[in-house]
Amino acid sequence: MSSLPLRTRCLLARPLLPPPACRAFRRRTLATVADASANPTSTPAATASLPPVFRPRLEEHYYNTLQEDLMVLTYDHSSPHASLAHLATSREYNRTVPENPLKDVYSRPVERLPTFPGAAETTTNLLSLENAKVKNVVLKRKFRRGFFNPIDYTSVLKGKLNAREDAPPVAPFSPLPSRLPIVSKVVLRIWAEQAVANKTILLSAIMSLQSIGGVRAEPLFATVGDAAKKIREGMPLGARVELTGVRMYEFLDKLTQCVLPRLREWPGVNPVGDGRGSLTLSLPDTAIGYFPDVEPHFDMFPRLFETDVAIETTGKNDWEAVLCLSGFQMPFLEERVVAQVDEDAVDENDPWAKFRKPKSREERRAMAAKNAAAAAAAKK
Amino acid sequence: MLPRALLAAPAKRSLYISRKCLATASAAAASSPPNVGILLKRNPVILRQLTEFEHAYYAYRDSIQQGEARPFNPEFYFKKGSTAEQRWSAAQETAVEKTPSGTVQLVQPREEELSALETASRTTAADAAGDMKSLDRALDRTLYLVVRRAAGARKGEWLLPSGQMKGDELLHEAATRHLHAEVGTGLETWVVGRTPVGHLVAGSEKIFYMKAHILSGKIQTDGKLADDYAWATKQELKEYLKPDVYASVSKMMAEL
Repeated sequence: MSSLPLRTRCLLARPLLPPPACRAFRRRTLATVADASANPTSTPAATASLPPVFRPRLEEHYYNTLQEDLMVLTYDHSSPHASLAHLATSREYNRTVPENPLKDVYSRPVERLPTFPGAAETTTNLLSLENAKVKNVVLKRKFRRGFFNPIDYTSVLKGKLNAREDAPPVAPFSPLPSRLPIVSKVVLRIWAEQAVANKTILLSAIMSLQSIGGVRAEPLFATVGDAAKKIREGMPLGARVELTGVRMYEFLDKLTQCVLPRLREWPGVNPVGDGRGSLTLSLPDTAIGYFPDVEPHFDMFPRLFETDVAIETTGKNDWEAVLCLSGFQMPFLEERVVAQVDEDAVDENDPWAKFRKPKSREERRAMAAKNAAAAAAAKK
Repeated sequence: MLPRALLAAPAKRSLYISRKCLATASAAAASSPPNVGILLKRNPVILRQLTEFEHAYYAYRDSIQQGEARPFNPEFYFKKGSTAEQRWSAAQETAVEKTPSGTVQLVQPREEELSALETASRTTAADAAGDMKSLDRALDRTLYLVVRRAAGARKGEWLLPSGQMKGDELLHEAATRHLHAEVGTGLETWVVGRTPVGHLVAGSEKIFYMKAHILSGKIQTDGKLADDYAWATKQELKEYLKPDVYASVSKMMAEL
């Protein structure tokens, strides 16, 4: 670490203090924390000068208020798992919190703790079939046809080798907290192909992600080469950071309170995700400058990049994910913006269109009807 | 708030229970329409006080993170010779405290505009006075609206706002209409979805409660339906509501 030049060391450092905040964010943080040290019944005086200890306000809001509202809004009375008879069989519904929960936690014998070296749970997991499968095999040579099984060198069809299990069917609605959508992860990603010419600009990218996320960022490397763009496989061209827990809630708070309201000519987030509870929005480079971690030291970042924010929730579809995020004041568009593919449109520039055979019987009948109508019109 | 189109459930999952279904279910129910009740709540405004265990746990976790974090490099954040750097160095000279992990606690220089700000206290004037009509009371708790009936069979009783449904309206429409009738139009409220959160059977009448949030505004009771009101926490509602009513209604409320 000390072998790197000072400038690089500075850029790779992560700040110890919580970031300086934008005015509204700071005022609210001060007001909501409301000085635990001022309260005479709280922590001893030794910790009064340390940063205050508090749970992220978005997390508190979710568990106090939002979760109940989400249950009401997503409620489906006709779901088979919503009946009381079914709920009586579910462990979560019948869960009772004992009077002294800590006593149960601390009274577990040492041998039964999962971290115990000889514990049966860890040994069984290691010897499971899943762990015996070969993972992340990197083949030195790429074969044009088919692939070979690296264990016994028999050839395997590419489709079979890369086949993935189908996703499990979506669980029907049940009024349990585990079924409700909650934000689980936020991934910030920068992809800058300008780094082909000048690798050092990525330092600024990594630094900006570390500043706004509060977590160490990693560089991203090209997986495929592109000769036209002079990209070689393995070149560092981007950066990414994954945020979970406290950092994730703080980032979402800063995003919705400080950054998104200040974006210009920006209509809102498109409420369209991948259909499995993830949503992505793209922040322009100007937006990164509005973060309270970046704005006071704007000059220290030579270059800011367009950043993709991928928010993953445990929602089962787009609607649930959007519902959950709207509870955190994420501004969404009124209408979903989805690219429309006009299948009936005939490509006029295609010279072979009239020779192509229509695929199904219905299409052939439709073609015949169209031709008949065209012929009748031509006759007149 | 989320626009109406997105608030509604997807078309195939209709939450509307048609009046026809209710009528065929029982002849008695067909004669008198069900009542709609409103659980109007004001959400907590400030973060709650952490319990001793929670505080210890979060403090421990934070101290680990601070110990494992890379040391702060002021050379990146402050330009050499700038006033910001001078203020920073001056602040660090006063640093004496040590974090639980052993490093010296950095002192953040106080900005002028923030020095002028005063942190508000957790208890307000309304708390001290015990003003039950104020929304500034009990900032870390949820407050629920309870009204005193001005007329009818239950005159003088403290209840959650409720009333009859009219015509062919849906529950959430009836909730909005009745709330404005009972406590005036000076409120901005949001009814959560179209599903009731609880019900109460009192004699022949059935009340289905809809949850609503108060966003802003003041209550003005016109005296016809309700002559008095109060904003009470879940524990304080025990003093206002009858025991059997409280038993059914308390299940709809959160602990905080």
